[in-house]
Amino acid sequence: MTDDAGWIYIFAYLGVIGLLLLGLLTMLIYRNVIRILLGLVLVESAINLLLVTIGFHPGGIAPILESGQTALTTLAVDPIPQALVLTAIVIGVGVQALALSLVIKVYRFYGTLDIQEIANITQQQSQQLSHHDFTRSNCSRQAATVPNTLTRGGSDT
Amino acid sequence: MKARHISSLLFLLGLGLLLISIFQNLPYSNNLTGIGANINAQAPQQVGTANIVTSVILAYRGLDTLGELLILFTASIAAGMVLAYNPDELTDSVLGKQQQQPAGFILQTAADLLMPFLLITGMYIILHGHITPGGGFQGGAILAAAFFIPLLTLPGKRMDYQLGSLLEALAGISFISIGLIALFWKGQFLAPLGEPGVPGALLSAGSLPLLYLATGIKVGAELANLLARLRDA
Repeated sequence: MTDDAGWIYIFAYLGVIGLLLLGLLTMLIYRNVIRILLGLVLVESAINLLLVTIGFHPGGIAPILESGQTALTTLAVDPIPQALVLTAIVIGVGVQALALSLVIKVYRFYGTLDIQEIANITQQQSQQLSHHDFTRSNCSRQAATVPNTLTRGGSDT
Repeated sequence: MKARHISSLLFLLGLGLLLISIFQNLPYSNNLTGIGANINAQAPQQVGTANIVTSVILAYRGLDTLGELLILFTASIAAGMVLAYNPDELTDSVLGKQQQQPAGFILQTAADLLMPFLLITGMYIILHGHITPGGGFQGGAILAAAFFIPLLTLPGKRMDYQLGSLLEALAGISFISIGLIALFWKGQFLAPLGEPGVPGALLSAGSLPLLYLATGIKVGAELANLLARLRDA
């Protein structure tokens, strides 16, 4: 292993760490839902870069035969991580489209994309709902306890 | 700078140091398992593809590709359910009136010119997936763009979702039936059928081009439906 080949790995792994941390930082400090989604996209590309880097071999070519060849004559990189990443990209597109459609519905429902404001709205709604539930459950508890005592008293006698 | 920012920065610093120490111990070669080298050596004779990644996707790991198509199908269905067409909502929305304006001359002409070329490029990439870099997923994305660009120029027009769903269902059924034929013929689900042939020829690799054609049509129809639903939302 020469030093030149080792530097490729070091740069690629540093790129993976940088993209991953940048994506997580975006997801942690921003409060806009679309920016959080873009952070998710950055994390996805970091994972794809990591998979391709693990399958890389110094001096290896792409695993595709040239015209006239019937077998690979030179060393090629690992084809399995490449196939994995190929499908992972398509899955990523599907997941992003699903997340964007959820974002559209959230904006229609709450009128905002700020997760802090959405949390405030849901808290208010849940407080109203729990208050409503509390009164209703009180009524039902009273309604449920009265016949119970009656039947228990009846069974005792 | 709030406490939340400082704590998240500290967390990310620790995570970065942890990842650096993990990556230092990874081996510096592709001989992690030895499977990749074996596939590189045997795939041209066993499967007959010049593009060895295609042989991994459709022959050695065909079942995983079927599962991956299932994930894309589920995401497409879920997005369709979330963004289900609601006529009242569309007429009431503020953007409804702006969307009815037709696109300009340049966009309309460019879309009409682009569509046949995009169709040809997409089908070329799908049908040469076993020879060159490319295949069903990449070509399917181009097919989806070919069907989506004319929709951008006609804002009032609705996408024909029925046609997309029909194409998608037919492609999925043909993928699974090729796998079932292989199951009864060769005893293995999605095993490559037919002769491997000469690597690099257009008619080679047995049934893999048919599988990639089904994959391409399925991916193209799903992505076109997905984009159209996001546009109509």
